[in-house]
Amino acid sequence: MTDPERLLQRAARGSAVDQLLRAGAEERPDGAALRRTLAAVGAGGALVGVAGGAQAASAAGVSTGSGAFAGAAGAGASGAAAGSGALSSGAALSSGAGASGAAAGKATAGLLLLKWVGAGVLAGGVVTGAAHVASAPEPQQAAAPSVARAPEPRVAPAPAPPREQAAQPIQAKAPDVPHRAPVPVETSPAASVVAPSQLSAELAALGRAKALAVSNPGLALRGLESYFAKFPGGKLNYEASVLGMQAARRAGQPDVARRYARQVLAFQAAGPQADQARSLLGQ
Amino acid sequence: MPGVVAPQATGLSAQELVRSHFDFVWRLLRRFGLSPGDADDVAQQVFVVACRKLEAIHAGRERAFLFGVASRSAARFRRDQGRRGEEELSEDVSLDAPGPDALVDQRRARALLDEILELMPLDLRCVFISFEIEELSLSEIAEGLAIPRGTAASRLRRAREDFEQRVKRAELTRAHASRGGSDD
Repeated sequence: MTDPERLLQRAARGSAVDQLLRAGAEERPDGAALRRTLAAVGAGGALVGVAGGAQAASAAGVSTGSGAFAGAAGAGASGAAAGSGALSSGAALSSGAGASGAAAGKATAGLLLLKWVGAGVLAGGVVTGAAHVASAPEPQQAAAPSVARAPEPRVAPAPAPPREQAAQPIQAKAPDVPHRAPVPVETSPAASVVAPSQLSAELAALGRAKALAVSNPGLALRGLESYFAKFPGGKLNYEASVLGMQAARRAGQPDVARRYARQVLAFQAAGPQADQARSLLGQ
Repeated sequence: MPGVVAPQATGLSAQELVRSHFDFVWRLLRRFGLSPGDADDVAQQVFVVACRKLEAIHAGRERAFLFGVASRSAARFRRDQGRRGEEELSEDVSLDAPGPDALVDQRRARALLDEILELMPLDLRCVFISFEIEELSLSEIAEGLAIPRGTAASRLRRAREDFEQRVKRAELTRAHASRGGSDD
């Protein structure tokens, strides 16, 4: 059964129909959007890849280990991931007993979280922890889950040295947004262990803010304010900063967005979110 | 069962799927009325969903699958956002710049295209965008939307009529505005 001829083939060159359809067909996304998605799919690929083996290890949660921000899976390697599904379902945490990455849960509910939880929530093989990841490997690297085993709890590398500009005490300039200067992440195994209850609380607080980030960014910003007040130096401060940057942009608060952007750069000087932050800062 | 060949799963990896079809999905979402930033976000969702179901995507039917996911995601997103429906919009748009080269500006053309699409009923718009702009086949559209091919063809026919009428009206409005301007 053949299809009818398309309007673009039928319309006279230069006619209104021709120009309108061509304009639509020639629009392209920017490269950053593709990179973010590739990184997120790295995590998604991991979900698919480990679904069988890791099922036993996945009590709950969605792995967001190599999320879009930093493509951190390569750096974090093995580890259970506290998931975005957990954010929306009471902040349960998964603990992967040696398996690399937790298996999938309600990904749809927390898909956007891949964009921001990404790098932060990697933990060692046995414990559920969180660590900020500095490096931004190629998305392809992020797609490679190390499923086989995790003999030793591995820890994400220390964050890149904060950019000089970004290291300014942001909170001093932003009385309305109680940001905290980024807290260097400890990289010893012991230091990377976070009490599940604290991480759960952080996840829950951020989940609420995230849920509002699109529909009511102003309220999301207030939620983030509470988050930073409650968890100064928290393990998810980086993710909160990224969320703040995006919510402030949506809310039409460029000054706040720039402050969050500086904070993002202080945590992580490379990667798609850093690019976004620089773009906001006009760098 | 002898004689029945199960369709093969796509041989594309997750990364290949994204690289091959990201522009397509993103553009679809834009034509569904999402802003560039929202299209970024929702495209990401679409691919994460698709990559979780990679085994279920048949070889050669990747675009149909992605189209289905993208159209549903866009509809859900718009619903969640409480975007204004087409009934709340004015019935006509105009090529508001009277100059003869107004449409040469691609951005203006795109804005006008989106205005016109916004006025179309969603079911027609969905088929129109995918066939006329993204060049999916009617079979792919039918598969993606889980509707009979005949229904897709019928929607396309109606969508074309709708689209062409609106473009004509827009041109008339421009011509009228142009004449009015020169009379002054």
